[in-house]
Amino acid sequence: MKLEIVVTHPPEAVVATLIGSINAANAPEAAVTLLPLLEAGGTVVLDASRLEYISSAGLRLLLQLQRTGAATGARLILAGLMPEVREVMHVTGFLRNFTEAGTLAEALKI
Amino acid sequence: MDTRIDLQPTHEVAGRAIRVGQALPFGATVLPGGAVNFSVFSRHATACTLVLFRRGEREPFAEIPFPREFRIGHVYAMIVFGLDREETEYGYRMDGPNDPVAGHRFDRSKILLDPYAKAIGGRDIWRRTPDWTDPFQHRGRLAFDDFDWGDDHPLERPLEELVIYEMHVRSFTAHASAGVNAPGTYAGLVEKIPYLKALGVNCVELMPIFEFDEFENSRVEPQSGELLLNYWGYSTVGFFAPKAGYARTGAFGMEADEFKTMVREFHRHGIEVMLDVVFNHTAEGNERGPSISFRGLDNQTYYMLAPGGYYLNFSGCGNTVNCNNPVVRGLVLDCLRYWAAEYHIDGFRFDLASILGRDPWGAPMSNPPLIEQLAFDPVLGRCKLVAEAWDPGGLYQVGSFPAYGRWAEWNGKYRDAARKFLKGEPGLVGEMAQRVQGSPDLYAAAGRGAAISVNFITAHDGFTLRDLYSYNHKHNLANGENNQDGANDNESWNCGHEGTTDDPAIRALRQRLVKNALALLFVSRGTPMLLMGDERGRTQHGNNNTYCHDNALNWLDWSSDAEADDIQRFAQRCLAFRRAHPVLRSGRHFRNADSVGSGLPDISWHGTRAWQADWSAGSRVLAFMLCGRHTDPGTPEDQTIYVAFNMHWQWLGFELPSPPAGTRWHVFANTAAPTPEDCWEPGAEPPLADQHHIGLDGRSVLILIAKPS
Repeated sequence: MKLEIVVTHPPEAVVATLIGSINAANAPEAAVTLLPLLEAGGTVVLDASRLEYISSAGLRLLLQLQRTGAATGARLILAGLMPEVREVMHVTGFLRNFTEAGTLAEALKI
Repeated sequence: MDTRIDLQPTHEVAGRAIRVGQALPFGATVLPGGAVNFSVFSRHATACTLVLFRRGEREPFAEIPFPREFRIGHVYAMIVFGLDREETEYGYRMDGPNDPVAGHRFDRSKILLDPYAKAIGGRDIWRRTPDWTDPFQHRGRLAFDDFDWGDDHPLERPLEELVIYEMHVRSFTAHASAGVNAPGTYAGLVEKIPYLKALGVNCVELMPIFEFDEFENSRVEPQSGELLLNYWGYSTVGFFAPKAGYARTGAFGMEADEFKTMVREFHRHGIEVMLDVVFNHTAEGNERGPSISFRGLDNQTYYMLAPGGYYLNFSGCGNTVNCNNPVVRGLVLDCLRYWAAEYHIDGFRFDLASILGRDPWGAPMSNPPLIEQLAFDPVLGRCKLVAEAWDPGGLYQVGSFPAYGRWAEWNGKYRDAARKFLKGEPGLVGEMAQRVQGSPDLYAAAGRGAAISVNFITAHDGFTLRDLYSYNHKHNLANGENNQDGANDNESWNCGHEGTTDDPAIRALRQRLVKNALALLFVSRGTPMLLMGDERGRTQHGNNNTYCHDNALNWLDWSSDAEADDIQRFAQRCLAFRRAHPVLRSGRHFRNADSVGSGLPDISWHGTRAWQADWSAGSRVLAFMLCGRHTDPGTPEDQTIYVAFNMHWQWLGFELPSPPAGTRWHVFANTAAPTPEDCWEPGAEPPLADQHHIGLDGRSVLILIAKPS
């Protein structure tokens, strides 16, 4: 299960597009890319519209990102969660920690 | 960088980097840095091998024998580096004697499940047919046991405040009519929390949720063609793992997170979570049963054995866990502490708890170490401990279970007396007077309070409340055991017709008897327990032992139905009434005297004549009055309540005792009155026109409350 992360810098926020799956094998490397974005402050949008699966390790990575952001004053927004991924996050208790937007476009307006 | 000198690999075996591990804790523990510590106990093994798999693969990717220097005492411990936490499954091969007569059943060809596995793979999706050719069916996994609880904690509500709802996780929402996103799962339970809150229960007792094998003893019932399963789950495979197949996210290995989220949500809504735990036997059966774990790890330690090596069978299920062996005691303690601390569980109900008081040869002990230890354990110190105080081996300890001032018990005598009384048998009045007081005849002399009596009329074993009044006999043919299984002494009554009927008089009578039972249960001192669905008249069509049915026989039907809605409304109001009146919920025993100078004793007994109960052998009438000023110290005063049971089939006139000065009697409930006058919103009870006399129809219950005039 592979993960590709594409980071772009539109004027409104830093956008990290997650493509594929996050799991225990690729989460450490994903952290190396994503944590600095939260450490820098500002608004960070995770575009999850092409995130097909997130594992237990992936859920914990997202929470770690959210907490890093809370410490630095960065804002983290999850955009475009696929219904199945969203339900998994809800049922395991992780979703409540996050600000969500239905799409990337909506997230950039927040 | 960690400067410890004992977290680097020292050996390479079978291509894996390893080093000696830490003897404690038992099980698989992920260390900071990601290495995994494996620790397993065996007293009689001569060698042990750790077997590692990629998730779901048939063949292991590594088999690592524990070097000699990796064993301390009877504990094998190894740290393995570089394992994928989500994709790894593990087990053990044990070398040792195969000498059944001496109690040893080591078999190196079997791969064994770690008894301390915190997550178990192999039954990830409920009822998905396993690969029967796979020799390693139940596989240890490396759980993510970290969780963000926020400020959640066990609720620690006093026992006397509880209203327990006994439920089966799958049955509660599996039916299509439940209308939940995640039917039959922990997440599904969360979706129905509003229903439970509205009903008024504040504690859910979940039937077994430790990992079990629903395919154990599965068979096709020849008549119906139905696949019968181990549905109830009273057969533990793993004591530290929540059943993955009950989780919406079990397929992704997230059952622990989902379960904890469920507990947090229950707590957020004021509902405690109690687990039904089964330590009396395991899923391994007797010598012919499967080798999953204990048998191959250290048979002689874990099981009660007869001379000759046969399995003692006090559980009726093939084997008996050797609970008072100190190592096994340690496992039971570790297990319960784990659930209390890591899952914030509020209490435990111990299935066939009398077995936990037997010594390794099966003899009952007067001072059983395990039961004592549980009563005094620090981590469990505020958990409810509820014993099903009997076992199939002949021990019956209701009233005599060694309680150490802590243990509560399922009061089987309440159930038996209530059923007989409610169906109109004579001569129960004296005993019922004890039962509605929290059974001081059983508990007061031993210094045990009233709340430790868990009162119930129905439970998963036996008829549902609706069926208690629809069947004289059990109808368990669908279980495929020739109707031989299930209890015969049901103390039920079919109201004149066996089974379903269109006769409106019989239907109305059944409805009323169900309400009578609910009224009795909820005005009794002690802790009431309600069976899932009895508040909606759930039927199992006369089957009183539905342990094997994964279908509508067990599943709660949420469809709207006038009779079901009527009972639900009645149950809700009775629970609201109980909540509103502390005099019904005290944990102390009655004194049957006036200790506050109100002019009324705390409880007084009446019959058709005020102040004169009929205790004779033919009596079917019992009434009592609770003085509202006799509430527990620190509790506000309550109103005076009068309850009358006319269990005779005929109308009887009752002379009412006078209510306290300045008050008049109002009616909370009269089960003979047609809906909506059978019960009223607490606080809105209408006054009685005649304050001195009232007629009660046969088989009806009256509850009055005194309010200021």
